[in-house]
Amino acid sequence: MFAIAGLALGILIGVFVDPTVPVWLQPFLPVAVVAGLDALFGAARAWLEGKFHDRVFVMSFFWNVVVACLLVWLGTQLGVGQAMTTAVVVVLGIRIFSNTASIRRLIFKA
Amino acid sequence: MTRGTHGRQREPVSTPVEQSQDPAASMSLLNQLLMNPLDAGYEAWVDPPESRQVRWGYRLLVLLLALALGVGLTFAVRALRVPESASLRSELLERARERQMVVTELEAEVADLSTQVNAHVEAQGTGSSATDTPLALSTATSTVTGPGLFVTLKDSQDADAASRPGGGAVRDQDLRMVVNALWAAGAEAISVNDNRIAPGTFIRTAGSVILVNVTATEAPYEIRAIGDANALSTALVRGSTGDYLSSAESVIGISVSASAQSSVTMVGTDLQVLRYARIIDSSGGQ
Repeated sequence: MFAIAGLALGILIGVFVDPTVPVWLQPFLPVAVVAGLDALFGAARAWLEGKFHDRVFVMSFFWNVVVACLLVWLGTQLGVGQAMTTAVVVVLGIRIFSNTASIRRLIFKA
Repeated sequence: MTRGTHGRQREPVSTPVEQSQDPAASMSLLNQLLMNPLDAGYEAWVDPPESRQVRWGYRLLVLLLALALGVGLTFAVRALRVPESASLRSELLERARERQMVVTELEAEVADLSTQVNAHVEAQGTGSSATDTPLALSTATSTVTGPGLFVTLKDSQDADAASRPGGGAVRDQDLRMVVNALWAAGAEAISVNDNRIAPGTFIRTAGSVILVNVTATEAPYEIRAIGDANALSTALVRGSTGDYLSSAESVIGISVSASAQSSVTMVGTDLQVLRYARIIDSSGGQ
């Protein structure tokens, strides 16, 4: 409850504030956004299954974003930045797809 | 992930293969794809025994963290969105207009400050261009009125203007020839489209507009001069200037017309560049 409210409020604040993202953060933005989306869909599925806990949601969001950015950073250090970004986005995309499939089953069959 | 959740499940909805002692536990990615289990965190959640304060403390922490994540997510999404090329042009136009407004404001501020400076200098009473009339005239810093001449240069209005050299437009050298001829004939003050010509003023083309100092002007160009109207208008038709203007009229198609005026007024300009200043320590002054 608090997590969703906090997230919604944060998004609202982000819409009205106009920041400039520093240049060194630019390569990490796509994976961070996709990791956040994965956590969001996982939370939606958990909520539909009746197992949602906001602490788990926030921790999974945070952890996903951190791990995804770390992997991409490691990849850029090793020279495989683009490939690593692709791999992270592919895996997160697969998880998003499977979570949304469960959501679909839960909504339209339950 | 598998070992941590092994002994703490409540009621497993599905029994993923990874929960047992599977030697291929490290292949959990493929298992995840096949079995599609819920995220392990939600699956294994047990309400921990906490006091109320700790629980509210955690709730506050969750709220703040969620706020930060929401803000970060929106920043990232906004930074990633690429503007469409159609709006890029209007964006550049907007920025150009904003900068132009800033320039106009600064010019107004400069004019305001210079009048204040002149007022202070006059109060001092020391000789300066503000009080010394001949000096003010030659440096074009004061408002002047007197009989004079209006000279109007227009772009070519013919139907075949586009085929003429330069598109039939008045060029900066045409304006310069007129202004120089007027000075030589004894004009005391000249302005082009209400821009006063001071000793350091230049008339140059930049791109497709003619700049007088740094102000853009456009056709038709009205040059006002204070002086003897007869002498001034004669200077425009005789001599090398007369030849130049008549050839410009025939080749490029511009039109030059002059009319005498009994009273011409033009304001002064203050484009002094400060190169050297010394604070005078006087008893009553500032």
